[in-house]
Amino acid sequence: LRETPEAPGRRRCENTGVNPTALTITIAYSAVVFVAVVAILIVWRSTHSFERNRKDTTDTHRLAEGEKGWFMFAVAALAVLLLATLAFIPYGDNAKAEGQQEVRVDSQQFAWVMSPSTIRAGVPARFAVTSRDVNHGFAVYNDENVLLFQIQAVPGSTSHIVYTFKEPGRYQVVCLEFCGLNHHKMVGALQVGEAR
Amino acid sequence: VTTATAPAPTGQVYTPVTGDDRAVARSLTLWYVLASTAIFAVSGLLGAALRQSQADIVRIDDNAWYAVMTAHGLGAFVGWAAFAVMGFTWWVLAEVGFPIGTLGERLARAAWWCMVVGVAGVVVTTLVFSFAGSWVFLYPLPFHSAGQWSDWVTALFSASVLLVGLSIIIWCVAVLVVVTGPGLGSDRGVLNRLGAAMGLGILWPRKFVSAQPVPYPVIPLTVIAIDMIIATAPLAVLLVEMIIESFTAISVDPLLAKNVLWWFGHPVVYLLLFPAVAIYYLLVPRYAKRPLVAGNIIAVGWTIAVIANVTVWAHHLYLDYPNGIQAAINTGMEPITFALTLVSALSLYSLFMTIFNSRWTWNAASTALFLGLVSWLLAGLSGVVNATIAWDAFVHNTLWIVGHFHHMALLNIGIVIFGAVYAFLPKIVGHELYSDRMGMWHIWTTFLAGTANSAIWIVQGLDGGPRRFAQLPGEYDAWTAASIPVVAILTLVQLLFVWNVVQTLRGRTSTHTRRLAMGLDRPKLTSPALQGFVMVTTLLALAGLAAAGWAIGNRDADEAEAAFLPPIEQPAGGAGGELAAGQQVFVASGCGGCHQLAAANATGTVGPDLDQLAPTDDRVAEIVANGRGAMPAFRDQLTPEQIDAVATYVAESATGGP
Repeated sequence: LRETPEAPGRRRCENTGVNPTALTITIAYSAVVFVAVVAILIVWRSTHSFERNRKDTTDTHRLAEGEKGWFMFAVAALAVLLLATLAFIPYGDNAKAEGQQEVRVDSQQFAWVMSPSTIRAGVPARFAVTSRDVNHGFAVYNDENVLLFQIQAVPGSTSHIVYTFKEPGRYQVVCLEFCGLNHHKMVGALQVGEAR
Repeated sequence: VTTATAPAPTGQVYTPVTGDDRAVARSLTLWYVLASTAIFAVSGLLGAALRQSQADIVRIDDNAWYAVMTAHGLGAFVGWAAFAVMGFTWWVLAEVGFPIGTLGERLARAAWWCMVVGVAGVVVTTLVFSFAGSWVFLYPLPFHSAGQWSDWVTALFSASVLLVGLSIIIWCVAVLVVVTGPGLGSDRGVLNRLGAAMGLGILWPRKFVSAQPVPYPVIPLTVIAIDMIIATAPLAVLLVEMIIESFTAISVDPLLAKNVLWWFGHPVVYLLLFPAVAIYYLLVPRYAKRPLVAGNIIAVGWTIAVIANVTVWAHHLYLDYPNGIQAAINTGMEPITFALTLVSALSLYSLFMTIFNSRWTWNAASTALFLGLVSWLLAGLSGVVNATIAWDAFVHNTLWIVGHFHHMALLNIGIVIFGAVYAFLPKIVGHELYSDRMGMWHIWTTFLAGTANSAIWIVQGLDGGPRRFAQLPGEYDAWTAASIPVVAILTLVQLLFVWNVVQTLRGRTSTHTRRLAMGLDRPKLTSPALQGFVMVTTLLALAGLAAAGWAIGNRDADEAEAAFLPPIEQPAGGAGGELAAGQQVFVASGCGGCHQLAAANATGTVGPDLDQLAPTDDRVAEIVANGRGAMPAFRDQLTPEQIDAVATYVAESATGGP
C-alpha cells in the first residue's frame, strides 16, 4: 500500500482551538450565572430562621421602591449588551467586493453542491447560498469540529456570507437546519489551499 | 396619573368563587391536568428514548427517530406544558374570585376536546404514519419527505396541529370572557374592561375601573389570551394552505411561511410562561405570608409584554437574511426582544423580593415554585444569549438551544406545574396530599437532574454540537453518554410524582403525613441543613454517574469517527493511490448523504444503494457529471479527473450485494 502524501486524513487542518464567540458566551454566561446563584442563595438563606414564630418585620414598601432601581439597572445592562455586540452582527459585511472568491452553494436533500469546492486561504470567500428544495443550514466547521460560521439556505432566495479562511486544510460543511431523513448525513468537504 | 406615584404593594386579598362556580373550576382543572399528565408521561418517555438512541444503547431508525422527535416536541411543549397551565388557569381564576360562567365553561370544554383530539392526531401521524417534519414542520419540508410519508399524512398532521391551534384560540376567548366578566366588577365597555384586566387600572385608575384592584394573576392571563389569538390566526391559515396543498398544486413563499411559523412559534413559548407567572403571583405571596412586592412598574412591564410578545418572532430568523428587508426586521427584533426580557426581570424581582426575608413555608409546592424561579432566572440568561444576534450566529441550531429551552420548559414551567399540582390538588379533591415528603424528593431530584441534563446540552452546544441529529459525530459521544444516567434519574423520579397523584386521587395519605397530622413527627427535609444535605447528596450521585458515563463515552468514541465527515481508509489492494483519490472525492462530495457504499462507511438511504447496484464506471461517470432525477449534476464542482476517479472507485468498491 502506497503512502499518499495528499491523502486528506483527519486532523490536518491547523485551524483548531475554539470559536471566539463560543468563548465569549462561555465566560459571560458563567460569570452572570455565578452572580445569580449567589443572589439566589442569599434569598434562600434569608427565609430560614431558627427563631420560632419569627415576626416578618421587612419593609416591603422599600423593596417595592427598589424595583424601579432594578428596572433601570436591567435596562442599562441590556443597553450595554446591545451596543457592545451591535458591531458584530453579520448582516453588513457580506457585500460583493473586489478580490473575493465567489463560491456558489446549492443545497438539496441531502447534498451540498459547491462550485468551486476548492478555494484559497487568505482571500475572502463570498458564499452565495441557496436551496433547491427545503430549508437547509449552511455551516462550516474546521476539521476539529469547531463551528466557524453559518447561514440559513432558504429555497427561492440566495443569501450571502463572506469568510476568510486563515489556514489551508479540509473544512467540513454541515447542515444545521433540520431537512428530513438524512439530515445528519448531509455533509461535504471544502478544500482550502495555501494562500498565494 | 403617571408611573412616578409611590408604589403600593397592595395587600391583595382574594375571595375565591364558591358553590357551582367552584365546582365548574374544579372539574375543568381536573380534566385538563389529568389529560396533560398522561401526555407528559408519553412524551417524556419519547424524549428519553431519543437521547438513549443518540448514545447508541438501542438505536432507533433515522426516520423513526425524527418522527419521535416530532411527537416529543409537540407533545411535551403543547400537549403537556401548555395544556397543563391552560388547565390551572381555571383554578387560578376561581381562587381570585372570577367565576367561569356558562359560556366560559362551554368554550373551555371545547378547547379541551380540540387539544386532546389534535394531540392524538399528532401522535398517530408521527408514530404510526411516520410524519417526521419536526414540530416546527418548516415549510416546505412536509412535502419533501424523501419517500418516508405521503402528502395525505401531511394533510392529516396539519389538520391535527390546526386542531391544537383551534384549542388555543378557543381557550383564549374563554379566558377573555372570564376576565372581562362579573369577576372584574366593571360596567364599562368591552375594550375598557380588557384594559382593566390587563392591569392598566394600576397606571390609570380613573380610566380603567374595577370593583377592586385587578388581581395580579389576572394580568398575565389577559395578556397571553390577547396575544395568542393574534399569534395563532396566521398559522391556522398556513395550516389550511398545507392541507389544500396536499391535494392540489399551490404553494407559499418559504421565507413568508417561516415568518408565519415563528409569528406563532415565539408567543407559544409565552403561552407556557405567562399562565405559569399567574400561578407564581397567586402562590408565592401565600407561602411568603405577605403581599406580592410589586409597584406600578409591573403594569408598565405587562403593557410592554402585550405588544413586544407579538413583535419578536424574527429573532428565530436571525440567520435568515437573504434580503435587506428581512435583515432589517431581524435587527429591529433584538432591542424588542430585550424589552420583552424586562417583563421577566421585573417579575423575578417581585417574586424573589416577596420571598426575601419572609416566613416562607418550605413544602413540596413552595420548593417547586422557588426552584422554578431559579430556573427562570438561569434559563432567561441563556435566552439573552440567543436574543443577541452576534451570539446567536454561533449558538443557532446547536444543542445550546436544546439546553436553553429544556431548562425553561421543564424546570421553570414544568416544575411550576408540579408545584401547582401539589398546591392545588388537595384543595381540588378536598383532602391532603398523599405525601409532601415524597413531593420534596421529586422536586429536588427533578430540579438537579434536569439542570444537569440542560447543562450537558449547553456544553455540547458550545462545542458546536448540532441539534436535531439522529446520530451525532463521535466528538460528542462522551457528553451524550454522561447524560444517560441523568436522563434515567430524571425519568424514574417522575414515578414518585405519578404515585403521589394517584394516591392523592384515591384519597390516601402516607404514614408520615398521618404522623405529622397527629403531631408525632417533625416535618423532615425542611431545615436548611437537611435540604442542603439532600441537595449535595443528589448532586454528588448525579455527578458521579455522569462522570462514569462521560468516561465510558470517551473511551468508546472512535477517534477516527469524531468528525462529521466519515474517515478515509486506504482501500485494501488494487491501485491504492487511484482508489484513495476516488474515495476522497466520494467522501468530500457528500455522496454518503444519499447513497450506501460499505467501503466508504456511507449509509445514506435516499438514493440507490451502490453496493447492491454495482454500476459500471462509465455509468457512474455519466450520472455524476450530468445528474439524474433527484441527483444533482457535479460537472461544475468536480474536474473530469475527479469524476473518473470517483467512478472507478465506486465501480471497484461496490460489493455487489445488499
